[in-house]
Amino acid sequence: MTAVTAEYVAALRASLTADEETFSRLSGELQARDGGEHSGNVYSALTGMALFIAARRRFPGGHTSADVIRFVGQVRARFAGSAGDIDPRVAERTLCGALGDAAAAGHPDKAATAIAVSVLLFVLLGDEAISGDRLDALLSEARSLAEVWLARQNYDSPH
Amino acid sequence: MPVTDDEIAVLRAHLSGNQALQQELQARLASPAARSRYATLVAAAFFEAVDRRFAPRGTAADVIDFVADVRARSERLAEGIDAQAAEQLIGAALTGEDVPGIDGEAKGRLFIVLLAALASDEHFTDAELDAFLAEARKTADGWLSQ
Repeated sequence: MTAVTAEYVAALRASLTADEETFSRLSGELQARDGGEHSGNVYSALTGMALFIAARRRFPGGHTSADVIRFVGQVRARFAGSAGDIDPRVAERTLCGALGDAAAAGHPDKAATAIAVSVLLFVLLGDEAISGDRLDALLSEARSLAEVWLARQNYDSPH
Repeated sequence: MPVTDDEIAVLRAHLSGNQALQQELQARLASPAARSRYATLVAAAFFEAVDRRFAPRGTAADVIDFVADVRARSERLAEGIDAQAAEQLIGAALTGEDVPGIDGEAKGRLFIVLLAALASDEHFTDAELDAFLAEARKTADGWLSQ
């Protein structure tokens, strides 16, 4: 099984706590150690699973298209100065995918999807005021799910 | 030639939610000149409605929230409205700047859809709708005379 090592979890934790210095350092180290493509795939799997968990906690009773559109609008409104960077349709599709809409999962624009996942996750967890042990618990769950998901993709580690 | 009562009647029917009447009246706007006047009236009404809703203290966040709210009202609106284009058009209406990346046809479609939503949110009485249309007509006539 592909290992989502502690450094990946630490990088996501740094991203979610707006510790940009630590995030940049760990990202650089992971890219140098595991290669750009592999580290990108592992980190994407981890953030995707964290979004999967956080989104379901936000909409525990299910969701409508309107819920998703309004939520993405609220997220983009919070980042109004840079809202142009967050493609609303990509963000809506990403969130629907995380909430179980298989048809919405996997947008072809990977860069736009990465931005959407990152911002959605930041806001979802920020709204929960999640930190400390609760954040660690969520990241631990996301790590386990990401490892299973990567194994199901027959994703082989280069190491 | 300034806006005529025919164009006002079409837009009034549209903003009152009377689609059957709007379609019937709009079919009578057969000439290119009449359709051009109607498009100008719609644009003027859009600018007036945006001004009422967002000026002078509306923020970019308010505009994003509004567009998301409109798109959330139906699947048709969700699919039909390009959120970023709509936000740009509303922002441009507030600043007077042009939006070069959106073609005329797309602008026209967004104007009419967003205008309907803005007017709906105003909950106009008949008299208020008439006053709103009179303001839009004045602006449109000014543009048409240039």
